[in-house]
Amino acid sequence: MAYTGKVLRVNLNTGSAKTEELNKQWADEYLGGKGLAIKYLYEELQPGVDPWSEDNKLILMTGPLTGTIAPNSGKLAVAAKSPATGTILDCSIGGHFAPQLKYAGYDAVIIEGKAKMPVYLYIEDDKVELRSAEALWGQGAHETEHTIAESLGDVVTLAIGQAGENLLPIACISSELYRQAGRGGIGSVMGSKNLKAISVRGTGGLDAPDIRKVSTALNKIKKEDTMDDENMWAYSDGTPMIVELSQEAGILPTRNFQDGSFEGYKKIDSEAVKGVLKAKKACFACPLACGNYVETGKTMVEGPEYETIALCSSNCGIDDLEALIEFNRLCDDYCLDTISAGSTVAFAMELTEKGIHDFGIRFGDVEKFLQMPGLMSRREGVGADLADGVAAVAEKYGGEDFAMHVKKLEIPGYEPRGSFGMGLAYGTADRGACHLRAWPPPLEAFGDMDPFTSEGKAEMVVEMQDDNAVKFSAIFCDFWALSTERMAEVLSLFIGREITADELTEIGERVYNLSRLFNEREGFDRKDDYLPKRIYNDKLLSGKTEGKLMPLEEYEKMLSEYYKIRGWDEDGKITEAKKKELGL
Amino acid sequence: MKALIFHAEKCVGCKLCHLACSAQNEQVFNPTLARLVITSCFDRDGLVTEGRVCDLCQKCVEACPVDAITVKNGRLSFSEELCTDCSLCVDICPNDVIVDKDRGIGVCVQCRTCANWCPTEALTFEEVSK
Amino acid sequence: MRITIKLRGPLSKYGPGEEKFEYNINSSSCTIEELLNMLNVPTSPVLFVTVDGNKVKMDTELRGGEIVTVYPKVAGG
Repeated sequence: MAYTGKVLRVNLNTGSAKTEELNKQWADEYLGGKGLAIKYLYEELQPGVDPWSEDNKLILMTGPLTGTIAPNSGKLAVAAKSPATGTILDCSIGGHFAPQLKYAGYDAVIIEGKAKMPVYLYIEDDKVELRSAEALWGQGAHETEHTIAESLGDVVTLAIGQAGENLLPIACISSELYRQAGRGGIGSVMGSKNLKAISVRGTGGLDAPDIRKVSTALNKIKKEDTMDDENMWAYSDGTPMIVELSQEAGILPTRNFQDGSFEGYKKIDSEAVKGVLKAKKACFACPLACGNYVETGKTMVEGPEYETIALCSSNCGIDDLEALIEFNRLCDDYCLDTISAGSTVAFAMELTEKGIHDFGIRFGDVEKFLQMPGLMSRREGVGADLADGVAAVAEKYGGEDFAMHVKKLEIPGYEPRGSFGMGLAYGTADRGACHLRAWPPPLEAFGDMDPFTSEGKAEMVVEMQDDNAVKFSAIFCDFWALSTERMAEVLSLFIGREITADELTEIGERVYNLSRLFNEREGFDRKDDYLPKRIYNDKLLSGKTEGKLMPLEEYEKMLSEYYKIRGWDEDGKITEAKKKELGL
Repeated sequence: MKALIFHAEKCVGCKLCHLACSAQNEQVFNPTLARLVITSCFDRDGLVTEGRVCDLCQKCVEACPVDAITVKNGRLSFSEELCTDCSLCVDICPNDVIVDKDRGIGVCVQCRTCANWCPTEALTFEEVSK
Repeated sequence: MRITIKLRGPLSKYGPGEEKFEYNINSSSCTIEELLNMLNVPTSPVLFVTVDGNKVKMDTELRGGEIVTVYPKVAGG
């Protein structure tokens, strides 16, 4: 009912594709999206697999609501073992790809092996073809999408740019030019398989029991919940709203996280973005339309999102909005994760200014800044050193204490010294430093909890991680702030049975522990759950968080409490009792 | 008589109108079965947002040789029993919004479900001259 | 007393439409909470309020001449 029951398995070695049955037991236990993709990877990948070898697998996973009129259900989970971190990696991409896959008849696509020559995958209902991408190889993702559209018409395409082809651990996948599956080097998994793009068109449809009743119920939810005052920030402003919030709280990353307040913030906040706004854009079935399509005289992008602003503007000492938009557009075309790219450029700036190594770029240098996406993606000039992200740069040149990553994934746009819970969230996120597993600022830095203490933070982070894990498995967009009760109400309309909020919380806990188990199997434990030393040792310089740092003892306290609440041991390993409880 | 008007400047490309139409009129979620076509995509020149809706021109009514499409109470009405699948209506629709199905056709019946679901009032129902 | 108010994002609908507007209060003092009540702004979608750029508590008193900015809740990141 909510599932097509079919998975498309593509082998790039043999060039063959076959359809197999979806594992229904796993679908019950993990729902779909994040959880189900991780389950397949946990069962099918050998520990120790090289993420750029043909033995890694790329999974595109829909959810039970994909293709329906359920609000905010249009995203796709994209998962693999991460080339950047060696951990499990699941990304979430919006736009319109996921529903087409479902209409074509598939709950998921699993891509194995490696093609001998560059190819792209074309799926149209039953028809599955691997077509030559030799003419596309070396092009950006944008040219790739346009060229494919010219020959195939109105398909939806996932594409990589030069960064993925050149195996950058900071390469992403783009769709509809400006939507990304961003982090952990997911784009280079496609690159390592010689897979340039995946295009899909589905002409089928989905039944639902008593569809008019379902539609009426969902329209009511859309009006009363999704589109209420608590969620319409996405339509009115989009994520750039957060710039002012972070600046106010003193947690806006500035000059490689040396500071939490940026003097130029007004030139890059949501009012500045609205000044160049041309249209709002929505993903499939989404009434919130968070996308901001902007045009200046010289450039355009759907964006910039908060993370891009934080890591590429204030973090690089750049307050030129037009330059940021162009940097964003370049990253989307080359397919570079803007968080990782911005952080790497900022790191290069600090290393240069401190005289540790001269990358020829300083904070605020707009001209050099705009050259970086191209140089990095093509591994040319200083880009050759910077292409592999901050951890690699630090290994080669030093500055490890202020290489701002956890597990080699660059830290996103919230300063942990002004939000201790966010620090714990970064340390314990499954794919490296991530703000999408737990996001404390609304309760902490922007809310009423004291941001500068460890008190109560572990409990908050655990709850947020489990809620987001089931949210991304059911597949609801992050930007709809909905309770597990509401999730249960919507899911129950489609999965053929009543599901409760408690069951969903249990699924979330199961998903989160499974991702931890995957990482454990790869050798990760407590030692990998720490933050860069800058957080413990360096004081922030100005604004609301002037003088703040996070003492290591406070972090240790949070981390130990976190493991205890999770039912893991002192080393951060899942206990047998917990595994049994969750059926792992 | 009132028919749909599409306001491109308000459209965000969410496809909720397509989903609502196919759910209401075909009992499935299938955008290709919707009786309107709205797209918002990036081509080489930038964002292109276009919409085609039924404006009650009634050329399909005139064209149908068996009166399977008629006007009742200011709205189009379709009878599957009378339809002979000749597809003349599909070909003649100047906005290309009649769905050619295996059995019968899908024509906009001015049910307003799409406008009800549109989050930005990009679809409204207004008097058309006919 | 007279203050300047900014109702950010979706909260602007509780004002005259523009996010920023001048507002007269018929008393010599007024708390943030009282101000929101006067404007019929519900508390649940409010994230926090700043006065002249500084985050304040709901019982903070206004004296006149301040810029009061009311921020909506946001999800995700």
